[in-house]
Amino acid sequence: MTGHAGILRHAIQRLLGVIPTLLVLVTIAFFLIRVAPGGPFDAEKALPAEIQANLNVKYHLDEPLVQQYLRYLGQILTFDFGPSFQYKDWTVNELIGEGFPVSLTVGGLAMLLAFVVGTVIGVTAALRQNTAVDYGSMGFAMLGISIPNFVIAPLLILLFAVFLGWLPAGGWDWSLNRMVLPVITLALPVIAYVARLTRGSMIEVLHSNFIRTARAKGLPERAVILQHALKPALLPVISFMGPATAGLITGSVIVERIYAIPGLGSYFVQGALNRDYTLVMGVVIFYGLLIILLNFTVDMLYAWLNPKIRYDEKR
Amino acid sequence: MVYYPYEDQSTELKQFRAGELHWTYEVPNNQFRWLQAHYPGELVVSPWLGSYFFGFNLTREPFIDSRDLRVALVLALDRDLLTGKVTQFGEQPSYTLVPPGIGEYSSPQPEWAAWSQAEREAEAQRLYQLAGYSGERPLRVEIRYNTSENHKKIALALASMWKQVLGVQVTLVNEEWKVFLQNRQQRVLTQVFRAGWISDYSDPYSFLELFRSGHGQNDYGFSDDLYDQLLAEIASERIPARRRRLMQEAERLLLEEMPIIPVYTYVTKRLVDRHVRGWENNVMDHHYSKHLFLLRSADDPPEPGKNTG
Repeated sequence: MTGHAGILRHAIQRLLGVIPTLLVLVTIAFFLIRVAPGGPFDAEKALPAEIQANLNVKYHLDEPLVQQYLRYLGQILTFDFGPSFQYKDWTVNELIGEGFPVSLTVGGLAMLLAFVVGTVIGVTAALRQNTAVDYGSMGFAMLGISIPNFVIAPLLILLFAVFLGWLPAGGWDWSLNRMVLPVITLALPVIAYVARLTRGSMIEVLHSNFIRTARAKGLPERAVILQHALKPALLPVISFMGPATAGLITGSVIVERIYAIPGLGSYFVQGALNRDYTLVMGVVIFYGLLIILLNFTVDMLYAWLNPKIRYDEKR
Repeated sequence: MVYYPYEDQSTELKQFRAGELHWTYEVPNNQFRWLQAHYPGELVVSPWLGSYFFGFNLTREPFIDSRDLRVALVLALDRDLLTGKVTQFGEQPSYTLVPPGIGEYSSPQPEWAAWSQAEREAEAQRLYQLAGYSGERPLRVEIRYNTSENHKKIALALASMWKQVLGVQVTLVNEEWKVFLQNRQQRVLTQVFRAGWISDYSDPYSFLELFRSGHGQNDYGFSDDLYDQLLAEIASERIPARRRRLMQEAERLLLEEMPIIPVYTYVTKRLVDRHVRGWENNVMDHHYSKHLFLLRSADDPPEPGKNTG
């Protein structure tokens, strides 16, 4: 019981710690984007001064920065990220609401694929350490890590869409066959990382005393691996997955561009280029929240996976 | 008819190659030869109502009251070489501000438009000397452009031609779009900068008014009473022929003062599927979907679109 209470207390403490972290994030992002030269309404066809002034009044850009900042803080307390400056008629909440499900689907599937395939490859390589299987899969993993996705993606499109004609070259309509290539592109480097991490820690775990004990007890090899070795071997993988998942599900700008997917990633870049203050802020806060949330989940998973780091005060 | 947004021209091209698009808005800038070899029947290049040029900041040295220097720099640019070897898509070399193709309007061509490049370069060198520069005392100048592969290539070509012909020492500065716009508008840092205008409507006034004193896009700092007066007359003139003459007069005056370096007339470049019919190229690049239709089988190559101007 104390263990559970400890975890709960720890969880509450961690969640309270989110507030100052977010405040720092909001403050830095708020002032940084406003320091950048140019404003949201600058265009090649310059606006007449009166219109520019009216726009500034409408969006409160005429107020002193500190006042704008305080107004913004009040606004985000109600989870209202305000109107987008560039995509008129859209609020930032609506834009995130449109883009995030797409990025979440592609990124989530990629993460799932990467986790399953990566651990299977990693475990297989660890069990056949220093054999052709090991070298082959680790060589493949090295390739996956070193080839950037802006090279892989066009190659996949050329092969599967242009030459073979099996899959569409891009675009988005929530159909499975349009998800295949982007999911694979996103998953490949993560598969590689996960495979290498799994292999390394699996080999380490297999050399530890409790595995020797398990084998000495006469347990079948399958049980040794699945029941005793796998859980501790996955620890480094889990801690890698937290931020990696946040990165994947908030959308990759490059993959979205190449496959013409209407996800969240391009809002990040376009928002910054357009000086769309509210959009950039909204996406930054959203991304920050996700990372914090996923790191938190990882910590909780850790406690479950590794009895040594139960978050108990009596340690 | 479905329109898809693309940020990336190579993605658009691959979708077209996979048979998912019937026409593309653009094609990648650096793949002209490949496209010409593989899609000769689909590649459609046609003049557009836009001018690519560079601007001089007339409110800052070395370009205050230095017509000779400006003309020298304008003449030293070999436009045929630039469009033939650098941009490559069949852009038309330009010596004026207003692009061709607007109704009955024709721009007043400066006399050097008819010269050979060797003659232009000789004159450029003469004017450069006249402006007080030489091999020992070269002009040092910055060319500023917004980040883009294409702008970079063109600025680089301009810089090397100036160096070759006149011995000008050029520094290239590239800037992100919003920073670039702000610097252009403030006219504090700029010397020579990339500019261009693709018109919203088919009228030379759209180009000419950019140079009115105090106009929001007059990043050149060009200010001429007579020019402003001509623009006012153009705005109120009702007889088309007289209005055209006034516009020609204004453009002649502008080219006399040379606040810009004309480079070329933009072209639209895209792929259009052989099955698409009813396609008509035009300088406004307007294509009404009501005129377009698909022919189910079209093994015969389509008629190349005519420029309807």
